[in-house]
Amino acid sequence: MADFPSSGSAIARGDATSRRSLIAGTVGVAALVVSGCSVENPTTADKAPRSVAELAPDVAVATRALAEIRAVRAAVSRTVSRHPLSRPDLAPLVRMHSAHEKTLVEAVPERARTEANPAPYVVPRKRAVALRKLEGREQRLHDQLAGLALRAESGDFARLLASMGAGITQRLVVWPS
Amino acid sequence: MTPVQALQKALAAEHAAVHLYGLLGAQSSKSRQPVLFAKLEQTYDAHRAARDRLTVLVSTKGRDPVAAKVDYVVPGPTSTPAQIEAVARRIERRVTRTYGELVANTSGSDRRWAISALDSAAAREVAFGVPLSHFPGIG
Repeated sequence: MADFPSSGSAIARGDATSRRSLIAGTVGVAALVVSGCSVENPTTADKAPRSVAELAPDVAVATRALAEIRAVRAAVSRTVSRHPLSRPDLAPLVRMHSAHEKTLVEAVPERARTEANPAPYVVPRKRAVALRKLEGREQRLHDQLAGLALRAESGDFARLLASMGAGITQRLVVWPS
Repeated sequence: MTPVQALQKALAAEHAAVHLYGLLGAQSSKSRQPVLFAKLEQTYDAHRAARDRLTVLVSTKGRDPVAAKVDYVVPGPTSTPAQIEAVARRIERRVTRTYGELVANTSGSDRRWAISALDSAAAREVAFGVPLSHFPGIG
């Protein structure tokens, strides 16, 4: 009888793959961007951050993902502030977004970071409506992360972004009503 | 790992999942455990569809899709509904990780499909009671 294909040595290697090692390539990209910038044009090293579009492709993707996650985290925070009874239900969501944000912050050079500056998120007065609206916002974030995973040049970074999206999918499966 | 190797690995995983869910379905009762049975049936259908899709993806690259094995080791006992769900959880976690690898090793339309398959696998994990993860398909 055959073992489940993924249960052998291959999956053991997968187990050992930490998020840190997955983003290592991206951090490397970030480091390259920063150091490369200094080497190529040392006189511009202290000038204002370059636009995201000018940075290495995966740093731009990471920066965009970070901004989107921060925007949604802000939406969750506003929803919790307006509807404190939702706090227990939404706490796991907050923890997940924080974990995603922390991982991406490691991958994005400081000079490329953008602060969350989304359009103001208006929380509906009724709790059920507010939760439905937030659910839609989470779904949109999921779709954005999937799109960014598709764009990522690093396969490992694509996996990380797709995994973040899958994490959101899991929360949507058990979304509070 | 090349894209074709990653697709073949995912196909091998889906062959195993189809086989194992067939066994799990046979071990459960439609009349006594209707919810579990329906879940197993639905999951079996999902894995069959994924297997068929992966077979096409490998074939279109001019390669012979990896064949299913004659039999697979069931990863755990299956005497009770709880044990059946535990085995289903193990299968889904392995499949989810395999799709994580597929995302990493493909690009373009293959990666698009892999992302969608990773999502579906992560959702099935939850359906069978796998604790929510911040990073499904990784570690």
